[in-house]
Amino acid sequence: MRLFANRSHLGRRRSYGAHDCLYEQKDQEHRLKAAPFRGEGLFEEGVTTGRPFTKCFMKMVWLIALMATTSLDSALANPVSFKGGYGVMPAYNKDWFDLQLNYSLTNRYAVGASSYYREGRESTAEFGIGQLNYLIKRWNELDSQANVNASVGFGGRHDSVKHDSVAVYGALEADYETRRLYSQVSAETLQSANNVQFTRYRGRLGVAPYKADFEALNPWIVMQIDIMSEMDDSVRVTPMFRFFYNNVVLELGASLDEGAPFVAGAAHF
Amino acid sequence: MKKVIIVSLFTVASLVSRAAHADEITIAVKGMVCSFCAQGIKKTFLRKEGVESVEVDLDQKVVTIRTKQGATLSDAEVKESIVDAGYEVLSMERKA
Repeated sequence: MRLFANRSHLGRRRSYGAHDCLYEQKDQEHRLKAAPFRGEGLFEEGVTTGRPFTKCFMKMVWLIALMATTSLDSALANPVSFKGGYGVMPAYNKDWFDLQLNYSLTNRYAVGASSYYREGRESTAEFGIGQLNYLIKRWNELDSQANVNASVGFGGRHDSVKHDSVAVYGALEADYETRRLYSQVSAETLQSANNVQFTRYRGRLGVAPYKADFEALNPWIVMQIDIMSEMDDSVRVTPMFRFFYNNVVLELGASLDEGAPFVAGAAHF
Repeated sequence: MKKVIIVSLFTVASLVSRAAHADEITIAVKGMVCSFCAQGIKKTFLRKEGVESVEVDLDQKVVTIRTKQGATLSDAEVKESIVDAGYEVLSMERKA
């Protein structure tokens, strides 16, 4: 399977490995606490209301992800899930590809390995990053949850034109969601030598047409805005459908400007 | 002597009967708004040997745990599991 088709028409030299290495609330709480759990309506609605290194690394990461997604009933949205939980998060757009694999040591810390592919204006770059993810703060409320996550990472970068170098990664993400509303803002940056850097600012707003049960298909309509100054289309607006089903998330969309497909997923297991 | 034996038998029978019961624990949980994320609660509890089943009700904001015959799960264990999954316990009730 080749996610990265040859884009020679862009007039760039293709990076060798991209295609090869596929790649309410207090009152409600008091009522809940005091209630004896057996009365109907207790919780009623409204009441409770280097090149070889990079190549091998990417290949390995991809193979692990592929095995995870195909052999386990699994996949992720936040980099930190539950204690002892694994997560895999692939995401693809026309000129970038992300793959993150995480293991949550606790409910606040997760370690992981990630691969990032970016097509810049002058060259393409691949990053292999070891990552530490930290849940800075979580607000658990009866009808909502909000999170602030941070990630830092260190690794290597291969560039199609410039010398290979070490690379660092940093990200900050905040989200707020209810069963019908979802919002997220994030910023992430990949920095390496020779001024090879990629920064992405992202905003997301989503609505669910109905409240889905725990193990039922839960569809969302999401609007995503990406600002990536180093890429060809520095502002990209992507409407998409998002589906939750058990421990898997699938997102399918296309950018408004040129219909570039956006495919992303996540699984926890 | 006869009374002692009878009382002893009743005591043993009572203990055996009690041990053989399965518990049903109902937990009100804060923050449980995302079906995908709440999977962590189910997975966390099912990793425990004594847990028979886990039901999550997003409408009622309740998790119901049934233990296997004879198995027990302390309040502390239940709370720890909910916290490990990233949520908060609001209240808890048990039925034998």
